[in-house]
Amino acid sequence: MSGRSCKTALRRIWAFLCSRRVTAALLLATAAILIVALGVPQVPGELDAAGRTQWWEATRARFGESAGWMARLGLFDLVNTPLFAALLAALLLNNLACTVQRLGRLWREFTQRPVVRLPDGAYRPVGPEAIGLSGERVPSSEQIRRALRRRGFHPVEEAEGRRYFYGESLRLVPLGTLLTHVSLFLFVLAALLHTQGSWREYLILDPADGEGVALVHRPGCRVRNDALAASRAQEAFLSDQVALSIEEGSRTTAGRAWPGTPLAACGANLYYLDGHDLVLAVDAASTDGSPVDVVLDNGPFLRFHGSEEPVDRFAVPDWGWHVTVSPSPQAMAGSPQGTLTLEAVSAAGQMRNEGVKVGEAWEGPWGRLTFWGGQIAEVAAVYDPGVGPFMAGGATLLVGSALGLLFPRRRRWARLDADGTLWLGGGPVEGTQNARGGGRGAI
Amino acid sequence: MSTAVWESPLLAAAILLLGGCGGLGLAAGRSPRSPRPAKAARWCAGSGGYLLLLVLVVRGLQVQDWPLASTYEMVLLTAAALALGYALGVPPGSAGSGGFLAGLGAAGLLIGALLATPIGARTAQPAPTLLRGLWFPGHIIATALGYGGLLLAGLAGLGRLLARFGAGKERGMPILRTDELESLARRGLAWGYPWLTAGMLLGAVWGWQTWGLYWSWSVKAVLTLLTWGLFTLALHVRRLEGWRGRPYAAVLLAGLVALLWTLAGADWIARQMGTGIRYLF
Repeated sequence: MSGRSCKTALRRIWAFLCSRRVTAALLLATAAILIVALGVPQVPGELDAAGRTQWWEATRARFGESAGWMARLGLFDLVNTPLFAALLAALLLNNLACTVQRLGRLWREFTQRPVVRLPDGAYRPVGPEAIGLSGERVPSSEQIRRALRRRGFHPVEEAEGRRYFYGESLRLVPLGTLLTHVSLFLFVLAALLHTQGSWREYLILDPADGEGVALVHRPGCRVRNDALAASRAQEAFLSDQVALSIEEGSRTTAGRAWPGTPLAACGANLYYLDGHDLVLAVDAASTDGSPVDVVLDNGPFLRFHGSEEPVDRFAVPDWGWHVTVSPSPQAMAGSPQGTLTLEAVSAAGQMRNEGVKVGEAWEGPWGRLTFWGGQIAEVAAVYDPGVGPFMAGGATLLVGSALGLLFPRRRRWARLDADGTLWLGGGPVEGTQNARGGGRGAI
Repeated sequence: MSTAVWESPLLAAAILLLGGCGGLGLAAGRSPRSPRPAKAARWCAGSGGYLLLLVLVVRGLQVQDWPLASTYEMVLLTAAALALGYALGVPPGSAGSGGFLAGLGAAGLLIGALLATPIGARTAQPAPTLLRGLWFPGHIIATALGYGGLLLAGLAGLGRLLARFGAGKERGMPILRTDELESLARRGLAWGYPWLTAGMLLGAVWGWQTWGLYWSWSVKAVLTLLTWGLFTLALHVRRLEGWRGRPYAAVLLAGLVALLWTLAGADWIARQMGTGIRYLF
């Protein structure tokens, strides 16, 4: 008796684990948590330590005394609370049970011969319009057979003057719901790999910094902003991108990153997030092309900060010049169409030029002044081993849901008697007036 | 040429056609034996949808870029997806309820977009640098197609709940037949759900390519997940004992509400929460 009651208990537990009602309850609970997450600011996961500290300070200032108990309840980080983790674990268990159940069903689907003929009582008499033939004239048996073949039926048996037909859609369709369930495991794997192994570093890369920045998570890897050299090489201002040099040990490689196109380096991806401020190098040359010394007021490069009125100065002693440089707002924004306003004061008088672009030269009887430049680049270095499983899970979910919903499984049975009477079993035939689109879809 | 000059008449025509679809759907429901109102309803929905696509194409040609850089354009695309999804995807038998709901739903979206967007803000603009390339437009188009189907399913759920109050009463809504509404919901879910899933996947690819983030718990992402989750719940319960009928319709309606918030309310929620993030849409 104890063995039987044990089996009964196990069956009940299994039925509970596979139950769609349990799935529904878990999905409703998850939806409730997501609704709460919309009403309370959630700490962004991609912030670094300094960013998180800033975020918490701003949140405490905003919520005052309530911030304390709200934080203790986990309201600011709901997806990392034990409750949410328990919900996801329960969903996973429920999903696992449903998946195992589907495996059994799929195995039977592929190994067992389908039922191609129903008991005679399961058929019902229908008119020719049920298979798309006109009801105005009585069709011949041959016409009926051809119409059945057009609708995907094929003959399976003949007995006592009756011909039996069977038609079905893709037998792979039940695979669709299996794939949608498998995708959840891939998402969980992605989440685990992301939690355990991913890292993100935010780098501020100054084009004037020849040393570059070392990656904390990749010792031996340094990243340098090569905007000035690239600008000089191309005689232009490179906008909406950053030219980078990456040193890995003794090897140095060069590359570029654009918004939407990261640079793969040091086993990670380097993302160009934004550019700000402006750093310019200036070259002076005499009319015969020989270089002329330039003396800058504030270091080896001209610097313009976006938060202040952008002005910097330099001198060309050989010409007796003092030059004031002011980039236009467009130039400060990183546009190659942006211009520099140059005011040169010398003993001979004052000259002004408002239209010199970065990468272009200001030429005259004195010689030539050329400006090369780049912006300070904000770059994110990201490594995330979860991206592969996540994308695989997404693709699996997409294929599974499309298979299960757009190609519902349909099985039809037909019987044609010797006197020409047509009988159908199953739902209405697709593409006919009587069809309302039956069939069993996903889930 | 100013956007308003050529766009306003086209949008007015689209509203009339979509409203006409709703009215003809009502007529089709009241006289189910006559196929003409049903055919005319589908024609109006299809024409309205194509007009909206034409507006978007011209906007795109004006800026030499994908016309998908604002909530306004996203709503136009979603309304087109809803109208064309009904016109091309729903069998004639459902013309009564379907035409009524799809026509009025699409017209409502369009009117809402026009009321919420000042004329000056409707000018077509090229997309910011981060939104260029192929992943982002792919993400938007797939999501809009998904929204079109799921809006149909959600509206069918709303209709099912209204039908309850109409059943058996002389002044009820006789055109809202429960069998038609369930067929409408099933079709809307069948093509809306995979497309929304595709939109989320393409959005993850775009996020990974742009920021190294394929998922975040931002307002927009949470709203999208909530929408997707509610329609997943609908798929699970539609044949469950005790959930058929009104409870299933209530889930569809909840999904509809979540979808509308995702479409047009993410920026407002983010501002209320003080996240500092602004959503173009």
